[in-house]
Amino acid sequence: MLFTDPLFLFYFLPLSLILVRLSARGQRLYYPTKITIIIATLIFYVYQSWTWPLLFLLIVCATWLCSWAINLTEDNRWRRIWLITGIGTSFAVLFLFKFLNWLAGLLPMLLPLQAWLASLFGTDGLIILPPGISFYVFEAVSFTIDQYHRKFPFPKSLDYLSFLAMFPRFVAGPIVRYNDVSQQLLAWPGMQLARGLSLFALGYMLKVLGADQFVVFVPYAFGGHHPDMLQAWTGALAYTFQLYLDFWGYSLMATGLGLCLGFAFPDNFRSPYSSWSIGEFWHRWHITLSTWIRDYIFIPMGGSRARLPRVCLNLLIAMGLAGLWHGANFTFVVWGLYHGALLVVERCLGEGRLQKIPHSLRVGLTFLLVVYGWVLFRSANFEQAQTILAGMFGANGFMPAFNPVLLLKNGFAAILCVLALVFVIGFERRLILSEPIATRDFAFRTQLLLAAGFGLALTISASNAKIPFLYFQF
Amino acid sequence: MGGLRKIIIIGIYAGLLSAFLANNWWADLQPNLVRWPDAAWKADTVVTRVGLDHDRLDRSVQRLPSIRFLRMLGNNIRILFGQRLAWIIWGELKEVPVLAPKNELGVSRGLEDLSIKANLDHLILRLGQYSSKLRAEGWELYIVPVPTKLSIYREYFSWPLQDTDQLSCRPIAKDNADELMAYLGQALAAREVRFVDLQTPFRQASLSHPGQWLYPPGESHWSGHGIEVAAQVTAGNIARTSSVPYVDQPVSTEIQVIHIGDIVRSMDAFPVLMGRYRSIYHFHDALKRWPLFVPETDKPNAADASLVAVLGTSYTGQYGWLVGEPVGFAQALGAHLHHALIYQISQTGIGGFHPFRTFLGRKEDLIHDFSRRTGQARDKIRKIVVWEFPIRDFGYLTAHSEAAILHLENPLGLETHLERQLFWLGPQPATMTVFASEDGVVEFTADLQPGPARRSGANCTLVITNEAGEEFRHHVIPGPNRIRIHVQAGANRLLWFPLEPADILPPYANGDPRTLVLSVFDLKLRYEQGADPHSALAPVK
Repeated sequence: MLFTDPLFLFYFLPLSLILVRLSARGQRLYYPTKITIIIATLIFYVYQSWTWPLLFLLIVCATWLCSWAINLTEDNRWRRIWLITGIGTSFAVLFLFKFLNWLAGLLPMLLPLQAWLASLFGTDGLIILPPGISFYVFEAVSFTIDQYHRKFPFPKSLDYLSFLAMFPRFVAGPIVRYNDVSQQLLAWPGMQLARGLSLFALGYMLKVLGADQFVVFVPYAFGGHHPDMLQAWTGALAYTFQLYLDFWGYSLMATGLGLCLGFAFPDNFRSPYSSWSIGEFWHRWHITLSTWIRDYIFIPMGGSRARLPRVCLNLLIAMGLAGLWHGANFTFVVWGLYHGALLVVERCLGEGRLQKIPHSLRVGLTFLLVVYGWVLFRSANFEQAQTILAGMFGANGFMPAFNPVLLLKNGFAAILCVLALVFVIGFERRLILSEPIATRDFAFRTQLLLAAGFGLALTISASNAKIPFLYFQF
Repeated sequence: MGGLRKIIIIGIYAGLLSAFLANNWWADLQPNLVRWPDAAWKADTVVTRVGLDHDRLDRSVQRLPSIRFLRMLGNNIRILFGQRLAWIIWGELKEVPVLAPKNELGVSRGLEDLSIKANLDHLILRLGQYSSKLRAEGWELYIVPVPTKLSIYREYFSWPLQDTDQLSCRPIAKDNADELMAYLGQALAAREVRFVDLQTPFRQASLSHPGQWLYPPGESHWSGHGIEVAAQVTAGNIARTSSVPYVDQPVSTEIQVIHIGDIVRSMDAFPVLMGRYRSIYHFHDALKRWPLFVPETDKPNAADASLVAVLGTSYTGQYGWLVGEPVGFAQALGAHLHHALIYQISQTGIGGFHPFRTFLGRKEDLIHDFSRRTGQARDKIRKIVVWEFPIRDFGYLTAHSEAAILHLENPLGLETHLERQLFWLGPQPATMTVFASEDGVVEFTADLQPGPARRSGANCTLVITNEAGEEFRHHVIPGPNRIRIHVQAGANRLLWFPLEPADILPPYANGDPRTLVLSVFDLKLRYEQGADPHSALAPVK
């Protein structure tokens, strides 16, 4: 079920909120409320396939039992064994569902295993990736590792399940850690409907009026054979903003829904396209994933404290894995390594030298490097990426093949794209302040505007084709 | 934030939700609308799992009155702000806008592209072969390509036109359809294939009488006037090249209809808010209702009757299936030919070749039926076959495309009506072919409704005969019906034949029952292997 789906907006969400409100008493999160949220999440998940919640419960049980066992013993050897078992089980499941289709194509000996899993969790002989598995596996793994490091007391089983089974962020994050919500589980602030709905409306507008309009122009680069320079740049930039507004919109909607349920989630985006370096970009783009990679992969490998060659290797490995997390395709790995290499270059040059470059030029260069990366990220294979990048560098001429009809016939989408760009350039910074967006209070007038914008977006969405969130596939 | 302000904000969203639900509940429930999303379980046939029927649920959500309202409003906003449907060519140069389907652009390219010429040559070769084959069997084949609306009303469009699907720039400077049609006509004539040129008379008619629309501005098919012109030209051509006389002014009555064109309807917007397109949303048309020739055995009118099979697409079917009267191209053609007994095979949405293929499989049935009804000896019958197809389909005309339901071929054609699969059953046997891997049972489930000719409420019995000649009678209950029929391994030809009720005799007061008796919605079939053939023939209650 998509957040933009009328079934979700007009049936599932109101009913869930009413039930949560009815089950809640004052400022404490009682069992009935937790159970209501868990059941709502399972219904949200079972909507697509009844087998997927079983998989989720398997991960929950495995990580819960391993964390419990870690907590039970003081013997470090056993604690490590349980840690590895918990992480291993979770990643094995993730690996099977995310990479087996891909690997079975490379290694035929895996075909029977693929066929068996596809009979339970797939169709036409292919395993279908359960939505959200990449996100809840990472959350469960972080819980197990944090338990190993004794970062917080071992919680009650229902609290653990409530932490993982929260429908607002179930299928595409943000990747929340138990520490982020443990205090909120203990001292629940209650449902914050007005703020939550306003934030949800903002996210919904970004998705429907922004991302879903840019998608019209993406084929200029990714739909043709040999795009010329204008086509390649139009398509690449359209995808750059589609991806951002799509995922940021989704993250805001998730954060807004979290507030409706009484939970504040961390920010996932903080104006990433105004970054002045790739390192800065990763502090602002998909923040919950990048901090997860930093804390659970990069730092355990030695992080930045090792010697420079080792740090560079760590960066490449961490970013390569971050790329692989996005899917079973070498293009994702190379995209991750590309960003890793850029981080290495920045590290080698040093901030002192980079600061000599004018700030606006640095922002522009960073943006360009990110756009090149998105071409790799979006392309189905290296051949396509190569063709588009060649087009962007003018190998196919400036505009011999550019057909303005697509632009002219989609006048309404073009107008909305311009408005979305105006919003990103002019108003985004007003939204991104020092405190997390979940704690922001919008002015009353802004909230009224957001409600009106939500109505407009609803109308436009109803007349649009259903466009899933891009990060649902990861 | 103040408590009151919070309440106002929450109240706005609650109000929006209430309005949505209330409108669903109290809105005038037009056909094809539902009050609630329709959730049901279905078995996943691939992996034998049960799950939610998402297609059904999604469809039902789109049919909620509030969603429909929002969608239409959204479409209005898009149209007003310049959004254009990609598959439509928008002719906006004159006072009245004209819309044409984009797939007609290929014809306007003319012969400039080598691949177009190659496709056309392939088609000409095939048509020549079919014509020779049929001529050897005593049939005279007439090819009637339907001109593109774009070429007939070319002055309304802003040239050069470009194909929006193609991201690269391939502008078409001017309409070259005349060149393509002329080439086709000459090449077919060289192969002695009868070719009916509609391009020239349509073009002349459009120029000499611009107010008389051959195609309504918002519709891709012919208007009543277009049908009449096409029928006159075709009948004139047949009369000149065969021994069937032409009837200049057959008697007819007129039906006034207000029609919403298929293209303008596809915008799915509120007509009053459509700006200049509001003027073409409704089209006031005058359709001619043609008398049908009924041969009487042992009378002169039967002795000199001709068998005319009219094969075609929706251009032939329109508007018979909309108004339930003999007003289409086939009936008009029949009226303009002396004592022509028309057999209409028209199918929508599955390409122009499919009706012809159906005819090839059924032509002996037609001869048999004609001989029975006229008393003429089989070898003495004058047999004419008129094959209409839109010229825009020339590229893939002789490539058969499968019907929407796999392993099922239905000669009366499948189309969608109100987003549901639909076909009509007439009193002539309709054949379906079901391909089975082994002996077994097919179970048909379908929503059966009496057609326009049966709206008086008369009951109907459906007779189905399987490959083995076993006959099964099914009393049709308006609404969902389930029918189980035994099949053998391989191709099974099933004959579907709705029986005429004894209480309704010709002349038929409610229209032409030869084309429309029973409408069959959402036909599905399920195949079970190894069931008892005799018990399978019993109806399942």
